Amino acid sequence: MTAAPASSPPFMGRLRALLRGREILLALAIVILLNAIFTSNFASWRNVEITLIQMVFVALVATGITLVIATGGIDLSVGAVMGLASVVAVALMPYGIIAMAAGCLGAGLAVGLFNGALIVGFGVQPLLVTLGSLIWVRGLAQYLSGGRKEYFEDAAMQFLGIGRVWGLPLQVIIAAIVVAVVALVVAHTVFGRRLVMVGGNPAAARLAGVPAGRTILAAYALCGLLAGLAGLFITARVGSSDPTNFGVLIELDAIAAAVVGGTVLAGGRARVVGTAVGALLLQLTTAAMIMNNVGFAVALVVKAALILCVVALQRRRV
Amino acid sequence: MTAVPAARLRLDGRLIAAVLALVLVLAIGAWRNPEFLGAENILNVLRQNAVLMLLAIGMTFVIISGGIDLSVGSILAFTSVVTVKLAPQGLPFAAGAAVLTGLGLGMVNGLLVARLHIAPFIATLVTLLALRGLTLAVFGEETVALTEGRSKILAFGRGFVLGLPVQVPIVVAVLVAAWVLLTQTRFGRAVYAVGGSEDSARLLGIDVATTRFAVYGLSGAIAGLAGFLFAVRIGAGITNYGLGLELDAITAVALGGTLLSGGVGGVAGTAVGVLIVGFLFNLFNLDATLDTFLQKVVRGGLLTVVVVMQGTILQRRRQ
Amino acid sequence: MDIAPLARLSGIEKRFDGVLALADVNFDLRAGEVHALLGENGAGKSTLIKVLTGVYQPDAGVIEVGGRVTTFRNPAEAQTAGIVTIHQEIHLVPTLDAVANLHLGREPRLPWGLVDHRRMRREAAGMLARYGANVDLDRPVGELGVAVQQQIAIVRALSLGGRVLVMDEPTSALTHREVDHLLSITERLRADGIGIVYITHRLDEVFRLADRVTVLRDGRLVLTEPAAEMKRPRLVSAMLGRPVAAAAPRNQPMAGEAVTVLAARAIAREPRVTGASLEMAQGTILGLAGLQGSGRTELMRLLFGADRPTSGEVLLNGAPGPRSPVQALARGLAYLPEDRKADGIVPDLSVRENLSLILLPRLTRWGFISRSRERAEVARFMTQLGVKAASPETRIRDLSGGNQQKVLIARLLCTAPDALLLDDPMRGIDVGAKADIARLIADLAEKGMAVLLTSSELGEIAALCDRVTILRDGRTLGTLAGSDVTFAGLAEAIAADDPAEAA
Repeated sequence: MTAAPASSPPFMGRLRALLRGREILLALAIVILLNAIFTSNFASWRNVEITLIQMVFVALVATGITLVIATGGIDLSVGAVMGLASVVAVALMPYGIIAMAAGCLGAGLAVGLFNGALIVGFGVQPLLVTLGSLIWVRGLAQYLSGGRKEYFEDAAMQFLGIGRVWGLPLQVIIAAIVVAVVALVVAHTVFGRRLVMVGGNPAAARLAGVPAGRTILAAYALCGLLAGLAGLFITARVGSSDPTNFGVLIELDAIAAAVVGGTVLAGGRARVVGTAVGALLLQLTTAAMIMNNVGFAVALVVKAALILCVVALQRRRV
Repeated sequence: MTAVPAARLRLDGRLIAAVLALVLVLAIGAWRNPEFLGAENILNVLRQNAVLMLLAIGMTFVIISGGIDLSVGSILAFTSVVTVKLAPQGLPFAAGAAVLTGLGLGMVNGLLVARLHIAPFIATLVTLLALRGLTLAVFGEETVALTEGRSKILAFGRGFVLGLPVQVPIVVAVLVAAWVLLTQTRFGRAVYAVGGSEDSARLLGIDVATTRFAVYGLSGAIAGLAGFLFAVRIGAGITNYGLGLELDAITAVALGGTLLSGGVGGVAGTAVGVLIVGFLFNLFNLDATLDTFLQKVVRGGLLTVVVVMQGTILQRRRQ
Repeated sequence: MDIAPLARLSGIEKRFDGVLALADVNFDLRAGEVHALLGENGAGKSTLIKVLTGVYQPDAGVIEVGGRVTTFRNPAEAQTAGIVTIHQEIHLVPTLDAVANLHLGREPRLPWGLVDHRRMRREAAGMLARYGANVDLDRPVGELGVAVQQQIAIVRALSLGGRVLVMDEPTSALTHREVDHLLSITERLRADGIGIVYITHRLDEVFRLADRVTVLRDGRLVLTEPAAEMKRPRLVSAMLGRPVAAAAPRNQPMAGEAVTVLAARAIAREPRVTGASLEMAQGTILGLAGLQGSGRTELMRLLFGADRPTSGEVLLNGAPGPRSPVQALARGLAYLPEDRKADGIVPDLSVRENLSLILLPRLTRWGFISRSRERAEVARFMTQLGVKAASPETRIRDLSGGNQQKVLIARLLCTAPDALLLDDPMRGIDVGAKADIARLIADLAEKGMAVLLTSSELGEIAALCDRVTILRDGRTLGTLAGSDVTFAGLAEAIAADDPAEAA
């Protein structure tokens, strides 16, 4: 890290100290400011709401992926889990919303446990295991549904999809609670502490009596669980299942959100709230480009460049 | 001077296992379906899997060097459209452009991995994302069909040379060239060294960054050639290829005995691996026992199984 | 002899962040000579070697090679001048065979840029045979064992034109027979006129092989003398230094029979631990004295359950020993690893998080860590151990070595263990922190804890320990107690030619 130049006035020094490790807030402020200037209708309550609604899925998936990355791993199968969850949800529709929710979460949990068990049990690279899962889980979702979208009308699902509580979108409230709970768990439980220990120095963690295998397994299980929840939400929001298109490439957005939020790909750090802010930042950037008629395609390229910059900067600093 | 012991014929256990697996697939196929081992079906399988073979050859270099390239499918998609757009200027020109485009994109990967030290999977995954956007932005549509001179081009792409599909001699030439490059040149030795132990390779005087850079460039260039072959066979460029072909390529490479941890393997094994994958899914199609979705489950499952098998072998060796 | 030495270092000085690592060190190497370089950890051996091989540039002093003054800007330049290191961890590509490793990066070529495999193989076989290296050319070197890999590395170094060979603890991972083979190869190299800098902790090898011996301590030259005139105890004293005055000797007589907490009976795990027995008793500090490389760390890991012995038994409070760190900690046995950085700290986390790592499960209420209790415990132990940090939230990597070590000891102490395994706790830390830690260890024993202590400074062991078990080449040779626990007595026991003398 570079030292502050000696000539900078005390105010700058204090600002710098305040922002150290929180550069993302600065970036967020800049994006919001630029948007407020250049994007018409940006600073409206309606627009804030839309932004929050749109980032729910990425925020949930990214929260899970943050846990996995903290252990030094990765999970590419999250998008496929969303597709599978949507199929499970529709299949369980006759049994009510509770069964559907349980089914979605269960499907996600099962895939997560599968990934984690192979990674811990056989010591294989997380990338390859979850790459395989990405394909077979998607295939399974398509097989179970015959590859078809199933449209449905269900009051409970509709409420879960677009309903409001206390004037706020229900999904946003739930996602916020989930993020908060996971952030609390990471910061305040033994599990959370062990997570970063395992990622930060596996040898030291083992000698300090940390059950590394169980910790890693739990991280993948939680990641799958949250992907399942995201699958339930997207199904409710859209009003249909979609085994083929739900969650495609969401793993990239999720990884990006986590990395932008300060979680290091090498492991050893979990910034759950940072991830949520990262997801917000990405959403605002994408939305701003689309609203300013830059086009979806170019937005993808810009997003890709953004991820690369952050990852490259991370490498340099460590 | 002591007598130099003659090079022992090295019985590569993994390669033998791969060949046996291939024989097994062929035997089951022949038993299930009389047409399976017919000349027509075999030539058809070879033609259809030419693209996969090329991607897998490039992937072999990358994996031996200790990396991974998830972007080859999207490079293929991009260059297939390049081919279609440039085909009216003549096929050799289109082929050259496709290969050079692939090379350029691969070099971007190489730059990210070798110079900026970004983890290979992130670098190539991001390239994949950017390429999707780029393809849409440049060409503006999902499928670009050949129109001008379509029949002539398809006659090439679906034609025969000496009784073999036109793809076969091209792929064989690339395969031989890759084998020579990997086993008979300093560059090839360096690729193995970097994948075997990056630190040692550096201390032993290998230019690690340049080797890596070259490997991704090569993988991109071969993917470009694959894009060309894809376009002239199908008669269209397709922009929305995501993860899929790269997964099959990785599976084929791993099946052929190249260790996913790097440093060990070769293109001969990869060729066998591609044939296993090719004939296996050909059998599913002929048999019609597995619908396309279940085939996908098998595809992902196959990679998982191979990865776990290799993991077990490596773990046992470590003890 | 009036031939100019192969290499000569004069008046070398090197500082890191103002801290003196080498002060006015002279060293020279003649052709056809084995020059042993000795000293414990932190003595400056590796810094000196890195100056010689171009990894570091000296702040003062002169390097001469073949009589001419030179400077090396990097290891490649030193290599060009014929100075090559054989590292402790061997730098070969494990997945490639010997032929490929020997020629890597400079393969002989045919026209068209193709590699000449036949010539490579012929040359490799010739080179290996000339130095009596018996190598299977067809297997990846990773499957060949350390000894063979070492031989390949040596041959590669020579084939690159190496005239000066730096061998960094070459025998530390070898079995007895492999050591013999390596020594005979070294003798052949010497006969060929190669100059060899031989770094080792094994005195036997020094006396068998070396022509001259140089000892460094605390970055200073202690002596350079012909090996033939050297006596073992003198050498050990030179390496391990005088007793530290700061740590007050305690050696109080034990009142009555102390209860045994941890006992090891003839435990082994080849190649580093070949037969070790010891007993740790309540309220006693047991020293484990031996040179570095004698198996101190490996033995401690066996006691702690981090590795499992292949034979013999460990008894913890009369029951079979722990089978994992988790079990050991649950049963009141704690271990401070030797390598603070690799096995101890989690660098990016705070002092608080590092300190409370083991204690955490006991600080929870409904699964959540009680922050207030955690803070209180952390504050209590930071004060008790005198950890100097800006705040408990400082990243541990930003602390000095001594303070990091105190945090790691606190990590163990806050779980209130019955027995402590301390692997060289005073290594690489400043004098003040050393004294603090020494006082702490004495206090702990007074309160009834059983402590096992190793140190690379014999003086510390002599000053602190009630009893001392002597370890050499992975075997325990006996235990000294009472008035025998003195610096001279220990040095004598470690240096003894015959194991029986020490018992």
